[in-house]
This record gives sequence, structure tokens and C-alpha cells, in this order.
Amino acid sequence: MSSEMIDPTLHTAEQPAPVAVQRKRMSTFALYYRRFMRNKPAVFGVIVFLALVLFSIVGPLVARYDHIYLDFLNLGTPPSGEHWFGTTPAGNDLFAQVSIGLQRSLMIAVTVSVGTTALSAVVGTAAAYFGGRTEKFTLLLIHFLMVIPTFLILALVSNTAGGDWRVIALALIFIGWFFQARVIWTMALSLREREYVEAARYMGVRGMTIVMRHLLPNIGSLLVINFTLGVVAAVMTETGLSFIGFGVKIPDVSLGSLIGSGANSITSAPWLFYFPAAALVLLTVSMALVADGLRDALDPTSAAGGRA
Amino acid sequence: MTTISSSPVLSVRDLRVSFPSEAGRVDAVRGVSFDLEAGKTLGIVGESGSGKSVTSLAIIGLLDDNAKVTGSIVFDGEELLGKSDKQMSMIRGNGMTMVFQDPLTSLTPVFTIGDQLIEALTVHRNLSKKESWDRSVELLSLVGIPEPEKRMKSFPHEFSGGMRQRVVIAIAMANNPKLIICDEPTTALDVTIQAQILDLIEKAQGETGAAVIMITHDMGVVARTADDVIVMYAGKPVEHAEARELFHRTRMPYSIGLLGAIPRVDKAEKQPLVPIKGNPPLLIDLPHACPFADRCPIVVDACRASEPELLPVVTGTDAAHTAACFRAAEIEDGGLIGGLPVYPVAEIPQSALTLTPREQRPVTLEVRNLTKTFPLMKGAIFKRKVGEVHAVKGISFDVREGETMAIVGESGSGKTTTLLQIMDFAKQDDGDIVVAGTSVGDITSGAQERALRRDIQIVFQDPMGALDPRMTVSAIIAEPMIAIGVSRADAHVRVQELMDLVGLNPAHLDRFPGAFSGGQRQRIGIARALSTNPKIVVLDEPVSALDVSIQAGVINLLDELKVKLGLSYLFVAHDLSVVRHIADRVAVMYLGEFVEHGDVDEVFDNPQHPYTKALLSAIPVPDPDIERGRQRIIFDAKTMTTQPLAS
Repeated sequence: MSSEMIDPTLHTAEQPAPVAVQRKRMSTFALYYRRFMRNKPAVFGVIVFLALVLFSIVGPLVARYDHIYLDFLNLGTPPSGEHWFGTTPAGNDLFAQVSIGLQRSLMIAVTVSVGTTALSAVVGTAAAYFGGRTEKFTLLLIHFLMVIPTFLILALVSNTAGGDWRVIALALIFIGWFFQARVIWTMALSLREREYVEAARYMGVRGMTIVMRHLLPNIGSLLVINFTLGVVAAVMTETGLSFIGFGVKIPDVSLGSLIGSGANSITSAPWLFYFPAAALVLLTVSMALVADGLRDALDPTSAAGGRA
Repeated sequence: MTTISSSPVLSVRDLRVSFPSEAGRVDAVRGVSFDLEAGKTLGIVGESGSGKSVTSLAIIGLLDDNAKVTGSIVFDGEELLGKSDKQMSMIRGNGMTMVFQDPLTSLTPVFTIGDQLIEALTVHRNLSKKESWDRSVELLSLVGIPEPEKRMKSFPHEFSGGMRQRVVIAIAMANNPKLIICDEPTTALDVTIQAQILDLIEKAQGETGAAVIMITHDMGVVARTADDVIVMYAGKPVEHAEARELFHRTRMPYSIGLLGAIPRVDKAEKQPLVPIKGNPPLLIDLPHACPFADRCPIVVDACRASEPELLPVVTGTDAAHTAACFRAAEIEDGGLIGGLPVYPVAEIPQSALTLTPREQRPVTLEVRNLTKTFPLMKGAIFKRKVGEVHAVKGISFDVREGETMAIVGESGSGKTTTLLQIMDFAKQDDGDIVVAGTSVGDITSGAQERALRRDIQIVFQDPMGALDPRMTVSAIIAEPMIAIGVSRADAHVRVQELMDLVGLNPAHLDRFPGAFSGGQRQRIGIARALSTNPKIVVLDEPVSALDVSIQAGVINLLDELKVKLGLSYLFVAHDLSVVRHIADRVAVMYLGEFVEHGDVDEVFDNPQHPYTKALLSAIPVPDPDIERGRQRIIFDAKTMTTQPLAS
């Protein structure tokens, strides 16, 4: 009772109005950040990933040799003070090659993965939400693309383009989006029937806004997994292409082409295989850890990061 | 019902059940004791999480292996705790059976109901094929399935929910059990079906002479069926008495609150319901105190020092009555303590609007000749229309400012379709929907439609499903405002006002919906609907998913907001008690038509249509004297007439 007895004239200055902002509103991203940082393996994944990115940028600058320079005094030598990762039989410095190759692979993988995930998510959820003719036409297109031998098209396109990584990335997006879009469409079908989607519609929210605000975030964990697997898959496809000679062409190198050529000499010059392969493994493992942490941080129902 | 043997069929002593969980040990049941005699019915009431279902599962031995059960359960002279699953199987379905809540999932869809009945019979007894078939047919006709011979070969999906529950009861009765445990047997069913199923359980009890444990959250069902009642809270019985004694001489604040929280279908008074503040405690690491202390209006220091025992109380009658409350002796009949009510309730304020005659108030929603048909399609590739289903057959009504119009009906009556048609602004061929003066027929652009949405907002039934789990409360409440072009800064200020208005702490605005309880989530849904200052709010079963004590708080909030903000409500519900409490006008819907429409007290006190009469007579009233003396009326859909139930 005593609090109500206090003379109001004495205390108005210190007492804020009850409805006024009592503390700064925490943004959604600050919340996600806090929950992500709680997950130690995920933070480790981020560190490894950043280290790889840093290596791909700084590596070429600190390397003693350019990746296309041929050192005729050191043909196929093991790692040494002169050539940190050894040299190829042709005399290329492997350290320079791995850092450039990682850079190239990262650019292709991230571009392709962002592209396919974004395209498939928007197309899949929009088809599910709008229904009717939009849905029918989209599904028709997806099913048509599924029966086309897309790998051949990819090989043709990248060969004609002379191994330009940008063309390869675009072609990879083109052949990668529709399978994911089909899966996302199925997931979004059930979301379409949720009451909060109906509620948003009855509030007068525009269709595309509903797709972006209510449907996409609710398949967020799927998208995050798709993105990570997309990175891995893009590296793999690019490796495959380079291996059969349709991918990135000399003098440009990628992890794929390095692993491809290193695999041939695994017994005589194992370093040629192990350094690029280690870079690839670190890249995929770190992405998997990051994805796991992101999923827990973004998903409010997840047990691992459930607290606000 | 008259056979009273000296030794009880079931005797439970100090039953305790705990489960390990990641957060710690969950003490789901903390000391339940009772005796149950043959032919008697024990009602166990409580809200979700009170441990009533776990108690029943412990008795029948269907708990998970990781559950730790201690105490004693003596059934028919045999100790059940410590028996292996194989030994329990000999008892289950034979001496002791169970009727589950959801009849849609308690029958196997791939076997005919005849097969399932015969299996129930032959698994415990050596019967020939012919004998078991005949007995099954007999059981089916006993539970009121027409043409039992034919229906033996039907699959579960060919039956309605009520019919399936009848089959489940037939299976439960198959071996003349000594104990039937009914776990919320009517919660998933419509009221008229509920009345029939309760009658049937009574009949099954009469046939077999079994004892019945009736687990429910509905005080009306308890008043109707139970001889003895146990009220459970936080895993513990808090009051245990004979039914009349418990309803009329309640001594524990929680039971008083539960009874006060239920709106009554048989009373016209418009008094606020009793909401019990707060939420039930988590059953992990409970402090050594009364678990109800934080929610109790008459809490004293002793309540926080130790947990009260379940002790006998003297009520002036010689009936056995125990209650777990330190102040039980002070509490008087009618929920009074020292001459004052245990739960003081504020009066509902009167607004100027309610004083204005209805005819002079502006119309906020008008519906004329609303019709909805669904085409019946046939054919695998080329679908062709072969007919139509009339879901809504030309209904008309209007809602005026400051009033609540309720549409009641059972599942399949077309009430939800009506509501969706209004919310979709569906253009009518030969009718119209007019929202706040604008006819939906005049809408030509998306911008016009969005502008009109400002005036009509909706609150959904499921408080979890209606809130996007990935958005913070603040973003959820602001969404309708952002959609109509309010700036983010203005919306943010309004969100805080709204949270305060609906009784939520504005400091919680950056939490996700998952962090809130059901009642709080429904308040978020209401705040969202109010954010655009609508003229009419459509409420689709807004309280049917909530526990009674929480439900009362939400109903009071709706009452209060209506007066404060001059809102109109269009309220769709199947619960007639809630409708009677909240509505000014009511329409009873049956097979897509309004069979009766008018002032709420007129319709409820003097129903004209036979369907309304049957519906009203089917609702259980939480008062054993009234409930057991009532004449039930059965509605015949073919002739559209009623007849009194032959007893």
C-alpha cells in the first residue's frame, strides 16, 4: 500500500509513464546473433570459414610466386621453405594455386548457392501461395526441366564460354534451382493453410509480402540447409566438370581442377592432392557447422536455442 | 447403480508418477489416493497438465517405460504395480478397459469394426467364430448402431465421430469389465452427440455393473455423471468429495475458481466470470509450498511455508469431504470467506451505447441472402460437375454498433463457411455483404479492398497457429497497421498501448509467440485484431482451445473491450454457455440455415425451433441437482421434431 501513498508531486520527475519505452527494443537480428553465439561449434565453423576466405584473399598476395609462374628449377618438389605447398610437375607453386583455386571455388559455390536457393525459394513458395494458374504453369515448367539432360547443356555451355567461371556459375544456377523449388513448393503447401497466413490475408497484406514475410521465414531452416548443401554440391559439380575437362580451364584454376589433377599423382606426389582436398574438406565442414548453428538460432521452436 | 459391495474394485494409495526430462524430473502425479466401488463413477477434473490423464494411464499400465511409478494400485484384490506388461495385458481389455478421447484415431482404419470387436472378444476368451460374431452384433445393437449385422463389415471411416465413439464403447464393454476408464470421452464431439455418449456410458455401466473413472475438464460432465469428484491441481488432488457436496459446499479456492469460471447456459445474468490469474506451475522442482499460492486470492504466509495436506473438512453434513487448503475451515458455502467472495469480480461497465435502443445504433455489418455452394466433381482427368453441396443457404442478419452477434451450430452446420465468406468479401449473386457502409459488390480494386479490411478484423480459434512463430510479438501486432500504411514509429507506440490494453506486459514485445501461454497468445491475437481500430471484430471460436480458468479471463477481456472501444463482435462458437454469456443476439445454424435468430435471452429461455430445444437440453449444467433432474430432448432430423428421451 505504501507505494500508492507516496506524494505524486515529489516523484513525477523520476517516474516514467508506464506505457513509455522502458528499454530499447531489441531487434530481431540482435536476438538471432545472441542465440547463434551460444552455439560453440557454429562459432568455430564461422572462424574456419572466415580463415578460408582470408586465405583465399591474402594467400595470392603473400605467395612468393604467381600461380601461373613456372619454376623450372623445382618440378614436382615436395613442400619446402621455397614452395610452402610444393610444386606441380610443370613447376607451378601449389600454395598460390590453392589460394587462387579456393577463391575461384568459393566465388562459384557461393554465387551458385545463393542464386539457386533464392530462386527456388521465391518460385516454390509463390507458386504454392498464389495457386491456380500460376501454380499450374510453374509446375509444368519444373516438370519439363526435370526431364531435360541438363548436365549435357551445362557441359556445352561452359565449353563454348571457354571456361569462364561466371558463365559456369549461371549455368549451375539454371540446372540447380528446379529440384529445390519442387521440394519447397510441397513444404509451402502446408504453410499456405496456416491460420497466420490467412490472418495476414484478412489484414489486407499484399500477396508477395505474405510470401516474403510469412512463408519464406518459416521454411528458413530448410533454406539454410539447402544453401549449405548447395555450396557443397556446387563445388562437387564444378569439380566433376573440371575433371572431365569442361570446367574452369588453365591458366585459371579451381579446387576442382586441382583435386582432379592431384588425384592422378596421389602415390608419387601426394601433396598435390592433399592440400586442395584439405581446403575443400575444411570448407564443407565449416559450412555444415554454420548451417547447424543458423538453424538453431533462427528456429524459435528448436530445443538447442529455444530461450529468447 | 445400486449394488454396493463392501470391498472396492479399485483402491489407489499414494500414487506418484515422475518422468525424467531435460529440464529435470517432472512430478506429474504427486500422491493420489481413492477407493472406487462397483457401479460407482469417480469424476477426476482438472486443467491440462494437472496429472489427471497420467493417473489413469498409470492405473491401466500404459505409461512409458521411463516413468517412475510408486504407491499402490489394488484392482480387484490384486496389486497392479510391479506387474509385467504381459501380465497387465491379461487385465487390460478384460477386467479394465479404457475409452480414449479421439474416436477418429482410436480405431484401426484398415480393419472392419467387426474384426476389431471380435479381436477384443477372442483375445481374452475362447469363443467360436459364430459365438464371437453374435456377441459383436449384440454389442453393436446395445450401443445403438442401426443395422448392426450390416455395419459389422464397415470400416471406421464409414462412421461419424459419434458412431465411432459408440463402437469404442462397445469394444470397452465387450468382456464385461469391472472398471471402465473414460479419458475425456466427449471432448472431440458435438454437444448433442456428447449427451448421447454420456447416456451410453451410463447404460454400459448399468449393463456391466462396472465402476467408471470419468476424466474431464468439463464441470458440467462431472455434475451429470459422477458420484464422487476429485479436483486435481499440479499433480495433486486438492479437493475430494461426493458430487453434490463438492458443487454446493466447495472449500478449496481452486475448485471455487473453476466453478466460477464457467459461464452458465441456464442463467441470464451478465456478471463477469471468475478468471484465475496466472498459469499452472511447471511440475519441475516444485517449491515446498502450496502450488496454487501464486494464483490464490486469499493466500496467507502459511501457504508459502509448506504444502497443505488433503484433510477432512467439516461442512455441516456427514458426507466425507477433504480439501487441501489451510483456510478451508474459514471458507463458507457459495465461495464466501468472512461474508465476502473469495474471488472479488469487477462489474462490467455499462457504455452509452447499450443504453441507446438497438434500432437507433448504426449497422456495422449487414449480410443479405448469403449463399455458398461447393461443386461436386467427378472423373479422373476431365472433371465434370455432377451437382452442388449447399453449405450456406441464403442467410441474412445485421450486427449493430456495440453488440455481439453469435452464430452457434454444430460441426458441419456451415458457420465457419459463413464466416470465411464474409472475410473473403465474397461477391454474392443474389445478396450482399455490407461492411461499415461499404458493399463488397462495389469493390473493384485491391486498394479499396485493403481500405475496407481496416474496419473488419478476425481472431482465430487456435492461438498458436494464428501467430507466425518466426515473428516477434511486436511485429505480429504491428502487421495490420503496416499493411494499411501506418509508419513504423507510430505502430511501435500503438503496439505498447495495445499490449497494455489486453493485459500483457509491454516489456515482452520482443519475445516470440512460443514463449507465451495459450491465454496470452489469444490476447496477442486480440491485440492484433484491434490495432487498426476496426468497427467489427470477427471471433472464430476464440476460447474453445483454452482451459476454463484462462477462458474466463479472455471472455472478460472481450466484454470489457467491447464497452471501452464500442466494438461489434461477430462471434462463432459451438459452446452455447459461452454464447449465452457474451452475446446480445444469437442465430442457431443447422444445415446451412438459421433455424432461429433473435435476442439471446429470448432464444435461450424460450426456444421455438425443435433443434434449438434439443441443443439446449444437451448442454450439461455444472450443478448436479439441476443436471440430474433435467428432461433431455432428442431431435429427429428426418421429421424435424423433438421427443423426450425415453429413459
